Amino acid sequence: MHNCKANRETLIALALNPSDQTQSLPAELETCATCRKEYAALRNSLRIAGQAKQSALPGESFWPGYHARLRQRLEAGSESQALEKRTGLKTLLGNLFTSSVRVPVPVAAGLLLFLVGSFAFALNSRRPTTAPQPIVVTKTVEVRVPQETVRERVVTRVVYRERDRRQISAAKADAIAARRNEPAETPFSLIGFKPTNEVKLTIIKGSYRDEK
Amino acid sequence: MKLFQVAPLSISEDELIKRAQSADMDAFCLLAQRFERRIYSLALHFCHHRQDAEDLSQEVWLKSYQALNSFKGESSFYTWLRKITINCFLNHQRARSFRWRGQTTAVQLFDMDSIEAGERRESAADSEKALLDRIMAQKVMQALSELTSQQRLIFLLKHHEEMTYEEIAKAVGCSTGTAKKSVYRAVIKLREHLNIDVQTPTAFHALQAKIEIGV
Repeated sequence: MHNCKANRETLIALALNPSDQTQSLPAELETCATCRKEYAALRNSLRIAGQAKQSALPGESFWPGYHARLRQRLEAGSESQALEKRTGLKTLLGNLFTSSVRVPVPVAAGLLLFLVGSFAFALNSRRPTTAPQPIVVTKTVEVRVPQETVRERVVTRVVYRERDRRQISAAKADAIAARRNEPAETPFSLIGFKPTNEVKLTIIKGSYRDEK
Repeated sequence: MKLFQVAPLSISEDELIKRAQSADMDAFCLLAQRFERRIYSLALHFCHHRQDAEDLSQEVWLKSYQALNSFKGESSFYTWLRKITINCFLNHQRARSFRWRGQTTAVQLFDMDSIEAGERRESAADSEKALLDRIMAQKVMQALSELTSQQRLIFLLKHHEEMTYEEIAKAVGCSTGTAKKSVYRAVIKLREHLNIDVQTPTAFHALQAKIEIGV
């Protein structure tokens, strides 16, 4: 369904630049009387605005006065420029002290806190001044250093060391091993034993202390 | 005080620029004379008051005189001058240093009529035509005064200076979409304020009819 209001932007674009061939004339202009009327009104409004450009200008009698005032301002401007060049440093300093910069409140508060903090820190960390250092004069003096003769001395020291338990046990183990290595005695055996009918018993007296 | 001389057309623009760049104020004044009406018209449509328009346009000339040595001829002199004009307008808009009367009082264009009445009253028909033109111009400015400064500037750059939306967006520092919207809004305001009856053949007759019935 055709909507005249939705078509308005296209009509404005067309009214602003009717010579633009890239914009095709909407079909509504042919069919819709309201759109056609609106387009004509827009074109006329812009045409009148264009005419106002000229008609709003003042008449010829205005311009000599305008020129005179402009020239006066130009001369004053160039004079002040020359003066500024002469007193450039003064102006710079003046601007430095009089100019202002807009800073957001949180940033300003942060800066202020930082400054106060750094000032307090500087006060706390200040140390007492030290005494002035004496003046150092460098002078070369020859001093004889006696040379010491080298004497040789032989020092003998006897160190007694206790044998360690491990060493002792190791020695014992060595002894046992040596004993084992000895040729084994022939084991006692009854081979060839012949019992006899006679037993000779020899008693030797006085072999014991309490023997009677 | 030395007034402006009539700018001789024989002196080329380049010659005037060269002379002005070597601190020749007369050459600069002749140069200004060639473009002063365009700049003044823009300023008048921007701030809607004769005195403010004069101050603003003269500020443009002062700035351009001070910055003349920066003109290298890469673009036309008027393009360079227009950049300065836009910057001046934007600075005024930001600083709100000029007296803004658009919203509160009527656009003042008729005070100069009383001064120039003698020269304009050549014949009754001419006088009537001039009066109607003035009324129309006042209506246009009244419509523009209901826009924001940026919207007004964008419309002037599009309609008076015939800049493209891309050029406007770059000069004013906004998006192309914003530039388009501003122009559309201005056109709608104009349409509302002028309230042209399209049944009549011309706006002149439409206005004449309105005056007769006392609208």
